[in-house]
Amino acid sequence: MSVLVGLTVQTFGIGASPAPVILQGQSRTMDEVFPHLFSIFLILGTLVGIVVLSYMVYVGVRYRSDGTTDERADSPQLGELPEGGGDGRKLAVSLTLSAIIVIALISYAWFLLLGVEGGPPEVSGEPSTDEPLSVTVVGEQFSWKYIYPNGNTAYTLRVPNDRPVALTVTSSDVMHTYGIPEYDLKTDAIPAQNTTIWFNPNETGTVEAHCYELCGTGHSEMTSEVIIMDGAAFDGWYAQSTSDATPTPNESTDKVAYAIDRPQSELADNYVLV
Amino acid sequence: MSDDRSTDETAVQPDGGHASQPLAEPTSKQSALRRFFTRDDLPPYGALRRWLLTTNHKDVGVLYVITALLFLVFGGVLALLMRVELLTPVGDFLSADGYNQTVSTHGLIMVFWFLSPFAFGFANYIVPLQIGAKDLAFPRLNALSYWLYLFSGILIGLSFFQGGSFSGGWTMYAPLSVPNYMPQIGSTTTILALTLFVISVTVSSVNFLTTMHRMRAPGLTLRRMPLFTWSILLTVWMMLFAFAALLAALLILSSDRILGTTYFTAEGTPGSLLWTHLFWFFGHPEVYIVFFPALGAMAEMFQTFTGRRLVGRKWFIVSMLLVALQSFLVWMHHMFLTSINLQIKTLFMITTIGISLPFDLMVFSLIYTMVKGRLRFTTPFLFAFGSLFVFIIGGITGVFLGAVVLDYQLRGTYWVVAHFHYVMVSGVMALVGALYYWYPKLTGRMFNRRLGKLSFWLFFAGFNLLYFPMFIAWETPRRVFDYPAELTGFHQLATVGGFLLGFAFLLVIWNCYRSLWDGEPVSSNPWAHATTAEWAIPSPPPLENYPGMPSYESGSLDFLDRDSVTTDGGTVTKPTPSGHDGHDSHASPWPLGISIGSFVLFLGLSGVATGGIYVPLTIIGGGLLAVTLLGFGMESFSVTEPAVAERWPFAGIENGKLGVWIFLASDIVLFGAFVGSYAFLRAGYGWQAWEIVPHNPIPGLINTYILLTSSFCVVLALVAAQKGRRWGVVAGLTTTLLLGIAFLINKGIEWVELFHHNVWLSTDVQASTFFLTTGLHGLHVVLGLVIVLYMIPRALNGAYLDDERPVEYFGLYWHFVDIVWLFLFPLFYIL
Ligand code: HEM
Ligand SMILES: [Cu+2]
Ligand SMILES: [Cu+2]
Repeated sequence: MSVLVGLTVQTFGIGASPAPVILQGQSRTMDEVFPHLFSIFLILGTLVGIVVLSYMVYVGVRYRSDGTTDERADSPQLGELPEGGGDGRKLAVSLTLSAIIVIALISYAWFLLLGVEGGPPEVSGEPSTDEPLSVTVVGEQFSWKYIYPNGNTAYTLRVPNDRPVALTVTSSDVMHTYGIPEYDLKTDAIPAQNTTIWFNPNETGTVEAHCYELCGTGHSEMTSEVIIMDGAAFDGWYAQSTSDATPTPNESTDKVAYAIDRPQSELADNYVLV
Repeated sequence: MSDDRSTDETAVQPDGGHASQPLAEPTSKQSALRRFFTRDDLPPYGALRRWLLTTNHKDVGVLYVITALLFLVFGGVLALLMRVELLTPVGDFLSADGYNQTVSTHGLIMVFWFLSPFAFGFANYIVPLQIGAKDLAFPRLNALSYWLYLFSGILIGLSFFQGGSFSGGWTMYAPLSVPNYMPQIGSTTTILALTLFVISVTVSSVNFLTTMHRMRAPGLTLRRMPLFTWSILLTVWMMLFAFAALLAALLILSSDRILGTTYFTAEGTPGSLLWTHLFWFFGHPEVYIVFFPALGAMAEMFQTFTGRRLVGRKWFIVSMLLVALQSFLVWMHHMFLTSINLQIKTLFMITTIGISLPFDLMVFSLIYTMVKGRLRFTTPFLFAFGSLFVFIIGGITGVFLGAVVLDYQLRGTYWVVAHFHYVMVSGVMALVGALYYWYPKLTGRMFNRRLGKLSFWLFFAGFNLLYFPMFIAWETPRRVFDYPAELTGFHQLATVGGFLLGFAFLLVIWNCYRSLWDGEPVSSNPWAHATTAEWAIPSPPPLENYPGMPSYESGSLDFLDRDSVTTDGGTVTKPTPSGHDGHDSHASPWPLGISIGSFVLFLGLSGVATGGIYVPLTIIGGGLLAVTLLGFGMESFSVTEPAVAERWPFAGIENGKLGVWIFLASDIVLFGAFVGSYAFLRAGYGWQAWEIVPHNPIPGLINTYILLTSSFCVVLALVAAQKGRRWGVVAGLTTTLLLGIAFLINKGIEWVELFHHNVWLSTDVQASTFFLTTGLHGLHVVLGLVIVLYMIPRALNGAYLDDERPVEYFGLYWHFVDIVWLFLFPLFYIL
């Protein structure tokens, strides 16, 4: 029991600790929030799990019948009407403790959520460079199409590493879910609906975006490259870019081939593209 | 079985007639087939006939358990196919579409065709025993539920041979599920199979609710019910409403697939969000529907094997009640990644966390029950203990998903897969415990104890080896065969665990099978400290369960002599008319027949749009269904209500009426979901911009008057029946029939008119919602008219003069249909 109390205090301790300075209204990206919160949940969850499960096993062993003294004066009798077996206080205490832990954790998580939902920060000064880059992402069986502010489309996402990137995600056919695991980003791509996510690309390089909602035969292979470029290099590329004609097949297995071959237009005819 | 009693032939018909004729003696002139299905007597256990004809709750329970285990093997083989595919991080074993079909049908079969029916096998067998009833309230409907369940399962099996089964996941997200993206006939079949299953569940819910609310032994108030029975009661209430929402979703989806409506695909309307709302409104309660029976069984086993009463029993029940209610208020936590706004996310985060707290209490209550107990680690208790153990892990990992920000990232990954298997297969573990726990009661023999314990340890080890690595490899996206190569090791471990678990399941089945012959015979109560009533009667129990009338009036279970039952205490119902000697019927061929008819009909419907063989199948199936329904209606089948019983809060109504009410309650949810879908699509489209389909509200208005008048006629018929005026009844019913036909003709003219203007179901979403919703109402009218048509000739023979209840029940239904129209008319014609 004392461990549980200790845990509770610790929870509050963590909630108030200065480690992540989270101010209300301050923007936070998912890749700042998620690893931090996940590790807190993981540590506390493991602790609570170990405490409860050990206690359970301990009780199981401790009160194991030795096979001789089973029958006692107050043993339940066949055909009796059930009575509540007392001990309500013990239950209430345990429930309160677990409720405190859970509610504290969730409130903290909610607080972080506000930061994520707030979107990219409004940055003062030099708006020209720090203005977020907005790209529309369209899921279509089985590729991701990116539409840049200048109207160009591409099947690889190229972003600069010196400003926030805001993605508006939708779908031209069925439901998909767009995710870039490297940046802990994920959101549904729903026909006729828009969802938004944003992130701060930092290190240059190539990461992968993946589909996280079953969307048909090519779902397993529905990936796309996300190339994070040096800011200046990006500006140079962007100024000269043209639209890609067709999805670039990813280098993965040939299973994806049929997906690309499939007549998209025929299938998607009746569906809106927002 | 020596204790079978022959059934009584001169019984009252449940629908009120007294025209029962003794069935003809099976003579050599009758065909063998006919004799086979003649319901003269309940054949012995060894005979195939018994299992085809029985309506007894214990037989049906056994059938459910066995059938569910067959589906476990089916779903398990599919699971292992996936696990083999996942041995390597690339697709090399199943085709891409094959994998999608496997993942989808595995999920569907395990959740719908294995887990719930497995639990309901025990519910069927044990609940009547625990509450002191001879059978369920409507034994034939119970058999019907079973057969519909079996044939719906066969249907999903057949779907693989129709160009491929459903491949859109068990959540069946739209619009992937419409023919544009999933053209296979087999996927339509899967959806229809699930629809048939839902019908079975609805029938079963009505039956259980009526039984549990009206047939408890005197002195057994709701509060005193055993915990397993409590868990089933709440499960069934959830089922009644949740499955109605699913039924609406499935009907709409089937219509999009077969009739070409455009609910999920129309431009400018949020069709795919509509599906997620409908599905998850059902889907979240479903989580508790599959888990509650396991929880109840766990509580029973904990009490018995610790030799203690459950700690905080009252709070345990309150917790279950809260969860059952709240389960309808959390569905949008499955939609945190969709376009819903922050306020709604917050609200649903709060309700989700709120619903997790009662579970904490239940877990603690189970753990504290062990304290100071004398724990006997028998096989059932090992399973119950292990189940609680893994459930705690499942619960903790679920809290992660409730924290919206974490859900953003964990959704669609193996974290979710690991979490829900930890919860659901924890339920399976408890139910396997329940199988061992009640096995001696069901069979009269003890299973092999050493094999039992071995099966537990293999089960427990296999389970954790299978699912725990999934937490570590959580970054694997869900429903893919192609995953990050560095996670291969964890997936290979999981596959090994999967085979181990599969082996453990086979061992359990083998043990139960062998022990039918090898097991040592047991007494009525092989477990010390069991308290519930099923342990007070022989193993297996005789056909009508109890030696006398069970009663708790004295404060504990007694068996009173049936004949000397005094009628003070409890609530007395008016004894059923016409003579009977207390023996009920236990066999009927019609439930099986109806199910075969439905099966053929649904198989036909799956491909009816493509023509070919499917058209005759549809016609044959429809005809078969009509004939068998008629047979069901005409059969003389006797069921008595107990003279004295605990019936709160439904003391004033008899079983039949309560059944109709409960059914209508689920029908309200069905129509509610249709109207809600309409409103949702229209709001998404722009309420004002939406064009009303009928050009002219006058036909609708006329129909409103027609229906109101017809309701009035039913009332007149009822009054006439009460006063014993035969011609009054006939006149009232006939006028109702004529008015109903007028309603349909008027509607037909209106529709034909619209067709002439090229407005058809598939024209646009406005037309889709109009035709489908009012069409569903029209079907209700048709069904009502079929019933009237059946009643009129009987009324001519004076059938309802000394028992007017059938007229009354029909009236309830008819007024309901009428009231629904009063909502539909303004919504679709005026607003
Ligand atoms: C016995 C009760 C079980 C139940 C109730 C159950 C339930 C489910 C459900 C609902 C799904 C989701 C399907 C979907 O995403 O559409 C699923 C997926 C899966 N199950 Fe089970 N399952 C059970 C047993 C097993 C066993 C024994 C194995 C392994 C041998 C297994 C392996 C899997 C796998 C590999 C997936 C795919 C996960 C994914 O990619 O999303 N399941 N299960
Ligand atoms: Cu996908
Ligand atoms: Cu849920």
